[in-house]
Amino acid sequence: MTDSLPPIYNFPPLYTCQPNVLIRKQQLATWCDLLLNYAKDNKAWCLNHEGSILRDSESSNASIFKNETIQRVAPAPFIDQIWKEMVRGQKAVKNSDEAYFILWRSLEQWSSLVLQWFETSGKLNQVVTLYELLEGDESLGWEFHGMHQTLCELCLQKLCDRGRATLLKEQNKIMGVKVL
Amino acid sequence: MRLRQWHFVETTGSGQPILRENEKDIYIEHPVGCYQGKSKILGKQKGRVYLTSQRIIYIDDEEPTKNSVSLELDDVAHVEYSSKFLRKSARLSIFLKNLDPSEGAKVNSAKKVQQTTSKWPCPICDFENETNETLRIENMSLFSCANCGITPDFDMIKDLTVLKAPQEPTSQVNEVECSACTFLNHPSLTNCEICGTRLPVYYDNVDAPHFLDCRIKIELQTNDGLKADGPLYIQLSFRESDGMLLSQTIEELIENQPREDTKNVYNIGATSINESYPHKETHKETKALELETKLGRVGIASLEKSQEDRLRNNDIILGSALSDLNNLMALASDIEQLYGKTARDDVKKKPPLFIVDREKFLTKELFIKEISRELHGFIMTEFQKQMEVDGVILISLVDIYALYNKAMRIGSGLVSPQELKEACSQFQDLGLKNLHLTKINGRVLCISSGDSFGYIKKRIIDIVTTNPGADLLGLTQRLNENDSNSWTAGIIMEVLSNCVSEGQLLIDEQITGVQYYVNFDWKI
Repeated sequence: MTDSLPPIYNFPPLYTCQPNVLIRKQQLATWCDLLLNYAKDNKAWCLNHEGSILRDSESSNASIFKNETIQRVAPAPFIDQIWKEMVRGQKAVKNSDEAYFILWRSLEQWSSLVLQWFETSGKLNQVVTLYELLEGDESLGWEFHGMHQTLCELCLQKLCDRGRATLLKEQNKIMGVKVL
Repeated sequence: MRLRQWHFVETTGSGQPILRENEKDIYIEHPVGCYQGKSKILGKQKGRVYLTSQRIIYIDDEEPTKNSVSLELDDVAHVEYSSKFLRKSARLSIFLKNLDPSEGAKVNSAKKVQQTTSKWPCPICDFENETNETLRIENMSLFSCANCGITPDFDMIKDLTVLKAPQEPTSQVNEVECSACTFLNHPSLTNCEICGTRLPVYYDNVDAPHFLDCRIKIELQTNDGLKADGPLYIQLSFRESDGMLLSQTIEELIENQPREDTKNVYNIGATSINESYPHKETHKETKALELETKLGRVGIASLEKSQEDRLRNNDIILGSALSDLNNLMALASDIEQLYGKTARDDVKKKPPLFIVDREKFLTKELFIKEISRELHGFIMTEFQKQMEVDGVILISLVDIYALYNKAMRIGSGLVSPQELKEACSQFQDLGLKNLHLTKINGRVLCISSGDSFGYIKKRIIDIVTTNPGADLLGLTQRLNENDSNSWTAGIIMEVLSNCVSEGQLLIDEQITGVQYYVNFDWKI
């Protein structure tokens, strides 16, 4: 799962919080890039705090913060710093206490991608359920296919803010969307 | 007028005199100017005076290696002290003994009584005879040929006799025997090479090249007013202190000199047992042997003579054998005592130590200055190897403190950390430019030479570049590869943390320790 990461992933000092502030900033930036790469390559929308991929509420044991090849683990306080940096750089969104959405594209980019899909597939002015949008056959091959529902709601919210979409709610839960 | 009593004194690089064997330092005075007679001596106006058990040593402050001179206490007749008067500073006049050449001449003339041997060939058998007698008609009976036994006519051999110049084994004659340990020293030496005792000097050897030491430079400001037959004196002028203590100490020393001289004679016990002086005994023996070997070696006539000689010789040898045995026993007990006495401080005794004792200094400032000099000398010798290999040294003050106190201060009072620090910060003021006190990482005080920190930093980065993941232990081993333990772990640790905080190195912390990597990826 970590094979496709750049070679710096196997550099031992990466796993120690560097005392020099300027160096640490770059180290954290390197970590952010690594996390984005990792999530993108594995289509992992959601990582828990320990760096494991969350899929359908079940998590695997493998973690990006644990490098079996060189036997290194990033310490917990350092992981906290990395997540803080991710959120600050809007590369991740905190979902719940223990899980983060990794944004290898920003929310704006995702929402315009969704809008593009609506336009090209001729679904404008129709009500489309979220399931149809994320899991349906028509969105196969699009990058957002299989996106976590909560994350998708955030993207659609962006469209609403621009006045291009109306969200259909049922019992306070977003069920469908209509793009104008 | 040139005084022979001035001697050159060897100093260490840090401006301390090198003491001889058995020499002990007693007192140090500072600052002092030197006068010969009434005149100032140029270049010797500001320095320290070290009083030792054998010498009065002047060390110049500016050029300690060139302008330093010493006086033997043996040459001092008496001293006179004059106190400060108006603008005239306190002075100590040192009157020197007139070096009387007659004493030395006596010794040498005794040596010069040498037997001249003459040679004459036998007109019959052509054998070349040797004799100690001079050829005269009256004593022709002595001139029988050693080979054929026939006495020739006076007229026949009077022209053939050849006087042979006495052959002296030159090397032996010139060597000077030490009165304490009997070692034969080179004539240029004034003190015994082995035990440091003052040697008897023969002043009729003045023309010998060794005597005038060209390293001594005495330049006078004006005429010194000294006459060869008048009293010779030099003066020490005390610039700040009153010099009382020094004068009194010198006076006391001179008084006690004769007693001190005899105290250290090594085989003092042996002479009393033997009743006669041991050197005389050896002379007698060699003379007897000479009779046997030198003359009358051949011929019938001499066979009888040599037989007689041998019998006489046996008597002498037998007689001396018993006294020798006594001597030996006395020596054995002497040596036993000596062992018991020296075995304990054997290690410490190797170099003649210059002991910087607190009590010898009037003010703390002087003491610190002297400590500073001693420290400099100590560091330069202790870390000489590192200096040769790396060209720089860097030692933490804590290490120096421990080393110095353990090696030099036991028995003479340990120095406090505060004193050590003060002493180290005075290196620059004392002209010992090659060492200085620095603070690395803004917290660790170190003694350093040149840009040692930059040097060691570069070396560490080089090592880490070739061996990524090096740890402290590995680095220490690599840096001290040439078996000198000169780069301490403490210093290396400081350098490493400096590299890390400046971003040249990255750390990888684990349970097993910290490993270091060069920072290639995250440039600042």
